[in-house]
Amino acid sequence: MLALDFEAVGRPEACFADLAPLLEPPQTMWMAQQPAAADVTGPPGPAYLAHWRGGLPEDGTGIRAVLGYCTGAVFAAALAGQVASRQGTPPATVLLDPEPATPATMRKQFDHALRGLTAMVPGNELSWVQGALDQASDSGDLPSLGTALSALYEKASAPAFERVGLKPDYQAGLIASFRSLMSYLAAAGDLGAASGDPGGDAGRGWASATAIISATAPDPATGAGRRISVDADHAGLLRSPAAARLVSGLLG
Amino acid sequence: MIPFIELMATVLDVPASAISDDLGPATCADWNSIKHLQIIIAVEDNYQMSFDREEIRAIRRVGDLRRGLRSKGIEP
Repeated sequence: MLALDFEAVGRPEACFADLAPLLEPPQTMWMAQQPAAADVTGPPGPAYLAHWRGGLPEDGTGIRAVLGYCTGAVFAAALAGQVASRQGTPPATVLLDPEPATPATMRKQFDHALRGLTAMVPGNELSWVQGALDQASDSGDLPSLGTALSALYEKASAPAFERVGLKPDYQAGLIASFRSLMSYLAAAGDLGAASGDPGGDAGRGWASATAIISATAPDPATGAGRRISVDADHAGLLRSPAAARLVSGLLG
Repeated sequence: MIPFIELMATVLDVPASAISDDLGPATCADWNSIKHLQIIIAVEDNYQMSFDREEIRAIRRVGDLRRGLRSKGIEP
């Protein structure tokens, strides 16, 4: 099976590496890694799909299921359609707390990152960010907003990184990771728009998917063909034995 | 060299009694991406060693740090 999620160090949410060992019977799980933002050229949604499609096995190994967590669900739905076309049989599509990418999603991620910075610098040193954030939020489309927020994060993070003595290469890594997250969300937004087309890959994948929804899902109303609620919180969903039992059952 | 538990407690700003192998971003509110790298730097400096990128990505809780050190012949 193929699993799509945004990978970052120090994130509180469980990840597919937590879910994999809980599945019965055991399954081979490939976890797709996002491309570096700098490597994405052209419309971001198709570029991400092409990047992952290029990593699929060439030896005829079949993919039984495509899983996506949070915004990764948008990619999972789109990629499942392409996998179906490629191997002739549709994989099961399982979306765990699916969340479309919107300007609000980007703002939420920026606010989260900013909280991490403000905890490390005193007083009002970052108070200027709010005004700049309001200005950045006027950016038109998701890629433009992502670029503006990335630039803002880079500027805002400099004093915090210096204060805690973060080595330059680690500083660069964190900035690149945030830029990559914005790029990832922009790409998902691109495909989210495409999923409005029921004949497109994303639309078909979304409609035929099963969504597993936690008790604290960020977007509990997000649709999919079939929805199952599970007694787990969003951050812990991918380490939840209940969610693992559901995924195992869906894979038969 | 600072003892491992004491080092973790200092960087995470928690009592030594709160340090367990299961402690990580999921169970420690202050353990974010920046803190994660601060922890890595503190351990690297303390034990005069370095983790590569893949090792840093694989570290998700205190127990992973211990295992990472042991894999390099260091007993934390």
